Amino acid sequence: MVAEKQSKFKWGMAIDIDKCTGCQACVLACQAENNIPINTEDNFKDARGIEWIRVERYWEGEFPDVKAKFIPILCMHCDNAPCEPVCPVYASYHTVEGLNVQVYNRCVGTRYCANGCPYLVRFFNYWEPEWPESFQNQLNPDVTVRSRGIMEKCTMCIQRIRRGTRKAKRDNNEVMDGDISPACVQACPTDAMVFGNQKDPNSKINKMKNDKRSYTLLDHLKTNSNVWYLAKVDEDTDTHSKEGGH
Amino acid sequence: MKKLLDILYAPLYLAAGIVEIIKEKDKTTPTWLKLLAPVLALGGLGIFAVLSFIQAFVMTAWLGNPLPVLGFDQSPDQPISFPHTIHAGVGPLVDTETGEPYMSISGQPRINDDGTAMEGLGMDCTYCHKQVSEQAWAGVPPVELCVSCHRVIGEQSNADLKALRNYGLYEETKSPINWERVHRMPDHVRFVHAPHIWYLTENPDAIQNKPLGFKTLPDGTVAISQVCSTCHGNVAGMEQVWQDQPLKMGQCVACHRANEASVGCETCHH
Repeated sequence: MVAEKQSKFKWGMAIDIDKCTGCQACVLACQAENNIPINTEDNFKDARGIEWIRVERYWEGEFPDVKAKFIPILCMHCDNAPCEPVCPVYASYHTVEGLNVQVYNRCVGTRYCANGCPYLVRFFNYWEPEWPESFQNQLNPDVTVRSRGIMEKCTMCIQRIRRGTRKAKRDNNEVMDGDISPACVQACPTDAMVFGNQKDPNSKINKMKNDKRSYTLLDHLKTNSNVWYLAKVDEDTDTHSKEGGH
Repeated sequence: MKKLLDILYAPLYLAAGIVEIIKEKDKTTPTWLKLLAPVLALGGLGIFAVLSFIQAFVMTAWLGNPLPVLGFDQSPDQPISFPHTIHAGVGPLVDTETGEPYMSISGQPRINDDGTAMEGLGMDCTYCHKQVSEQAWAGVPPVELCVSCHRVIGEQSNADLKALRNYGLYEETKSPINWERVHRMPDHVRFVHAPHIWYLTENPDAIQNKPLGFKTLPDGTVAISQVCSTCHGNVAGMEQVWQDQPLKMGQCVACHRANEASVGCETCHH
């Protein structure tokens, strides 16, 4: 087993559902940053589209009294991840910084992890990814292009985390809150998503995760998710809106 | 290929032949031969399995880092035979082991008219590979950098320099040089030069294959050009660059362990 070194970092994310407008900028940013193959309509019909982050839409109420709610769903980087123990080749791997990453060169494509994941955020490459000729030079050189037969998932933009920590170490600085942001967080126009170090007591994410509106998805499965959601504030249903939430 | 397969399948053929004998002459065959047949067959299969395993192992190891046979010399011919010896070499250009002068790609010894060995220019690696201390890639310089000197320096008759001037000076033939890449990591490995340079310049003890004339600065650090040989070998002694070190994951991990760097998978594979 990997020796658990005490790391200065434990990464996490908080998403304020109340601020999310469902604009899909995070989805697009992720697609561009992480060399995700282009999904066609047929891919989605076959339920084989690859989206490391997706925005789920929920309608509440009857027309015309209808409300929309958007929940961006990405890998929860669970502390107690159901995808990890099922991997026969240890390709689903937990880093000392609290991230759950996929080691592509170990992966043999059993897809056990995707079946184990309750959030449905692991994706299998059923085809060799292809880009049009004009897109060849837009691929991110810091991210592996996953070939056919490999499982892939959100890495919380590990290439950006490594770049940020490297830069801080070089300048003899501490990594400040907000120095590092994954592509989705950077792209979010309403700042609904916040990424940060949970071991930093003053970080924004620590405040958000201790907010009374905060909850984690599928909490009863005890996955100890590292992505927190802040519930939508609804003045109609929450008569005491200050005490509302989950 | 067929012959090779025949050799590999030989134990199977032998076993099949013995089975045939047993079938045909069942009544006359002695009992010991009947017993021997399955033993030979199973033994043959076992040897076949072991041999195939060894063969597969050797083949994969070879494909990962081909030995210098059958043209896999890891030292590809370049469009312009750029000699690192003259540019980066320090002092007389003689092989440290044999004492002979280096031979250029075209077979000319690197000697002056009076028979003494040429002196290297001793240029710093970072004069051309500028980005190495800031970026992931060391970078190959634009051809403009080459012709900034070679516009005037060098013989007019030299074929390589003629080609270089065509690449860099004249509008109608101007184009980047399509260098052959020598050190290439597999696609699932992310190697970033910059942090390695930062660490090794500050910790000279970790430098391996130290170059000739290795010297430490007064503050205990070393210049950037002193650390390259850890992974690239003595490039200053190469007429045509080859991959000196295996650069396999074991080498990376051993060095990371020795220097207490991160050894998590996500360090390089993401």
